[in-house]
Amino acid sequence: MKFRCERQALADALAIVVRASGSRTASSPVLAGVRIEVKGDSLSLACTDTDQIITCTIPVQGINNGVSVPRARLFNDIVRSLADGAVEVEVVGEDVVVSGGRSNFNVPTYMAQDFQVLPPAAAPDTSTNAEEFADALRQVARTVKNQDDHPYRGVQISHDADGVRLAATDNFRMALRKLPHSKILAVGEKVLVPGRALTELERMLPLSKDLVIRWADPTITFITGTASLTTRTINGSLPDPKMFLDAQYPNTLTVNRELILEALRRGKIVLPSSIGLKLHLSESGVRMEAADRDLGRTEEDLEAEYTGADLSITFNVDYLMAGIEVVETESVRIAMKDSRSPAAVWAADNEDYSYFIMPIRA
Amino acid sequence: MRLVIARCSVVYEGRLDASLPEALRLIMRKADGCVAIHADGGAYKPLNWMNAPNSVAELDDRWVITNPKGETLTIHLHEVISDFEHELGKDPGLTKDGVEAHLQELLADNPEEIELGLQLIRREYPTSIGPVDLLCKDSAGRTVAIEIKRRGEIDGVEQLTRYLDRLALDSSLGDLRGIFVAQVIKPQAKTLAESRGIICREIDYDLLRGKRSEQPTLF
Repeated sequence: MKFRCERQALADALAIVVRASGSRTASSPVLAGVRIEVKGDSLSLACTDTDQIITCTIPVQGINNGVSVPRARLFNDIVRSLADGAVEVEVVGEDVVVSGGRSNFNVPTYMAQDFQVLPPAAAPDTSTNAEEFADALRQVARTVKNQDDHPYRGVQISHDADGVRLAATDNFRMALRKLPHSKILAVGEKVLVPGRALTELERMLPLSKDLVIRWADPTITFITGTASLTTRTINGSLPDPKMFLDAQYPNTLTVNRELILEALRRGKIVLPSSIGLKLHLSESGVRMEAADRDLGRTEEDLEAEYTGADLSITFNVDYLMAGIEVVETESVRIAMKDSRSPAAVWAADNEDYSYFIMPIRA
Repeated sequence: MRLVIARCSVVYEGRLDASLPEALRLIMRKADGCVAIHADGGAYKPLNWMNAPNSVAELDDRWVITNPKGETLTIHLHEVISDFEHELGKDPGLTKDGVEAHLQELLADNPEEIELGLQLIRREYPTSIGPVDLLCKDSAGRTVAIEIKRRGEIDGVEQLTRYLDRLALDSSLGDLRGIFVAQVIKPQAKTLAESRGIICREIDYDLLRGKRSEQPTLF
């Protein structure tokens, strides 16, 4: 195997795939490698940890076809450190030799046949706008339950009568985002994709205008231009958000997004994590109150508009902020029923994004 | 239980002679016959004492306690400030932290709290070097030995390793792996466990007991 290309092109491709590589201590050490294959004038790179695989294909000047699996992070570090300009990579014996400028590196390799490739999902392409998908993902991804074996450790993509939607929950809150123009999946279908894979996908999305999705359980493949990510899906699905979507929220607080975030940040100073911040709401005024036995207390009147009954309601300040931060409009609506029922966070003028949050008992 | 606070001096004659000069002290006479003389300090050790069985001769100005070995403890009472007696009844004994046993019970009922798809084979699975806390089957059909501790330290990992070595001798158990479960696992224990291919799981006891955190959930 031998090829020549621009250092930057190779470094960019490696940056996409390398984070999917497994750890060296894992039962299968070859997973710490990056599989590089030259076929004609095209170079394919792949890293996998058996649950997911990221591949990227770039044009190169191919000299000899072949496959090699050098250690991924090492190969990546070397390529990044080389001077700009042409790089030549060649298999010599059991090593890969990387040359660029005046530098020469010999990198030991793994046995290429040990490298198990998770095949891409065998399903027809469905395509959606990558930028819109990236926005949607950014809005829901922070709500994913961040625990390795939890049934909610992913983002659900679903397509029903109301269209395509992304959803995530950690039991305390649920984030939903509609993709009004998207046609991915068929009506009635839903798939739960691991949050870990989507963190990688977020970095791949700026690579192209369109995101292609192929889904055939138990795997799903996302393709952005020359890069692709295939991951195992999670068995099961998230709870149905219908009860939150259909609920009545007679009390509404409308407030400037930046203004309430700043106030919450001030309140958070006296709150160790996960302790509640109280909102005292009435049509004559809105007051925020945060207090901790050791760290003191703060009170602040908010410039906001409130319609509804007098209400005191307590939220986990981190969860409330997370829901508000990803709203894309200047002002935000927080709609509530009472101090014990889920509240909703929406943009001022649409409900494409919704965030449902359970208040804390005061 | 009889408690006497008195200005007293004490003479002990036996393997060696010892005496306490006159001072205010607490004299305890327990229902089983033990006598102990305490000063106003120190958590557990009396200044002088005599275990049961013994015989106590209670005279006007002194108690003379004799045991079968011929040792005597003589307490001279110069002034009795308080003399109080109360029946305590039978003591249930010291319970040494039932958390570990309870954790085992709770996890045996809900092995999925440890790992999704885990099914219990049995609790206290016997081996020649002691019982394994829980023996389970995972979703892939592998046998899983689980050691449960309140605090996850290195000795717990060693213990589980020994069990795994033992269980590996029994080929009928098939593929075998270990999970080390504790409320908190020390980083050194985690590192050791991982180097031996043992998975570590931290379990929230309060949550498991149904004492949900103060945060209500959506579902």
